[in-house]
Amino acid sequence: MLDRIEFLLSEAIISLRRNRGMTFASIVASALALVIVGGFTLTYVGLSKYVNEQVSKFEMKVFARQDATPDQVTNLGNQIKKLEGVNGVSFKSKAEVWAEWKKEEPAITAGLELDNPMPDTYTVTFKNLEKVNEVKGLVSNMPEVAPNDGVQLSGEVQDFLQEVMASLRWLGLALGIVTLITGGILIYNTIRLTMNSRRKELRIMELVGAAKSTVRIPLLIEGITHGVLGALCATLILWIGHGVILKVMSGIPFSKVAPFPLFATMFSLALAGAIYGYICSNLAIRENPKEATPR
Amino acid sequence: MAQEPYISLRKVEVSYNDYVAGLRGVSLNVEKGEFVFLCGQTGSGKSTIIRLLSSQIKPTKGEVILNNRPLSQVTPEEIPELRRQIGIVPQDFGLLPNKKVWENVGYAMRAIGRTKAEVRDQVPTILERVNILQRADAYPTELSGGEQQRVAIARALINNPPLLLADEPTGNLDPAHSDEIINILLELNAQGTTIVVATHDVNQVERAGKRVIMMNAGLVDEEIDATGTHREPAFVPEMSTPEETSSNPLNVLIAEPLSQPTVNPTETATEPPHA
Repeated sequence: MLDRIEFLLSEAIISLRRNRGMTFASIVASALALVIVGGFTLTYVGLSKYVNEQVSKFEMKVFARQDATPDQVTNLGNQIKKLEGVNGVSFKSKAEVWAEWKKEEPAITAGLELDNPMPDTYTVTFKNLEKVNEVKGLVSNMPEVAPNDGVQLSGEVQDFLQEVMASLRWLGLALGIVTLITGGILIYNTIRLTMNSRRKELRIMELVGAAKSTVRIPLLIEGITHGVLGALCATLILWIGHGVILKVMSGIPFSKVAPFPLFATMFSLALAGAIYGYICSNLAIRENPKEATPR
Repeated sequence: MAQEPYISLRKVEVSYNDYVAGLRGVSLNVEKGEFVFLCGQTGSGKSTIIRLLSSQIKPTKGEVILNNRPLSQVTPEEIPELRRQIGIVPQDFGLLPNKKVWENVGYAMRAIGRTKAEVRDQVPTILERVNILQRADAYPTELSGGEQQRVAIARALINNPPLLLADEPTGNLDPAHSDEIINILLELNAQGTTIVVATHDVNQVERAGKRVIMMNAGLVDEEIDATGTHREPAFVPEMSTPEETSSNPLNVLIAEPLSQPTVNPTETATEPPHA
């Protein structure tokens, strides 16, 4: 068994050495494809994690109409609680809000003692930021809510983050597909070149009755090696890139960059690269010229 | 009950396309232990028979039976196993130039799953059988044509096959080396191996004194047995009318492909042929 493994591996190594230029090109192309896919995935995951961390901090203020009765205000709170995506609702009466404001802004509130302009206020927190706009729209249309600016979000940055994430997802997908196809074609061509440069050996194997697996396995190993080496290069590039970003961001206050998941990235990309290399080389091996086949 | 022939071709036709035919209805039998020359000019169909027997191609019509088994029943997965029962000697030797003589034979053995120890044990014996052991450490480029062909024969013997197919084994050799190769094949035949040789070298065939099947334009033209007796071919296709002859494109050009078609060894099923 070991003898056979040794033979198959030595055949694969010969193949890898035979077309060094093409091998190098296909490893670089695989690395590039995996850098793009891996880079976008890491950025997306990091950003997604950040956005989710912000969910608990994100709030929406809902102001009741000045003329709303206490029952209507209570009813408003109950309706908001029932909406999908809402995590919790807390209530502050207009007197409580006024008291807080007076404490925070004594200069502005001086002289307004008799006429409390503040409305009854609900503070809404969310389970899922994607539901914010939907909830905002529904609450704005409730009759107990103050007609103008009755609903206020604590920050529009969340919308921006959501948009960035959606863009990243599509851009990563599009670029990833293009580079994966390019890399795949290169691996495919490299395997075809190997088959061409090793046609004498392959022909001998055919003539003496070598098992199909003996012919195929070294070529599959070659394709998998391209993918895995490309993945390792991609991990290195991403690691270096992450270090650079970390250095740049360290100068920006309140910025936060998650640590680089080296082993998880390396393992995931290596697995992806191996599958990718296997598929590409398998396609190359299956491609069968049909010259002069008897009918 | 009469014993079935070891090899039997029954009304076999091979057409590569509308205009190129390899065989047009060949029937012939070869007994176990026989030595048969398939003789004819380029395009006569002799190499097509070699390819059929080694399952490199399949017939368009008719049946090829080897050792009581119709080759049409052999699945692509079974072809490697079938090839291990057959030694194939290609016309161009097919040696690896960067490997020494013993490595060429050893490589083929390793490809069929033999261990390094088996290679070490068996290669000298195999090289000895074809009288090339003394050049075991030479590279193919350092060998004469006859010596290279002996290495190719040695490689074909690694499975100790009961059948040896040789496609123009003397095609690239001078008369002295041709004699040497034929003598080796005769010796192997004397040891019990059935041998089928495709050749266009009529002089060589006459000197060997074995059964000869003369091929012409995809048909068996004539048979001469080992005693020199001429026999009618086993199957003669029905005569065509002049109109049929002119309308049948197969009659316009009867040839084997001149080029060596590309073969993908990973798809051994019905792929065409090496020259």
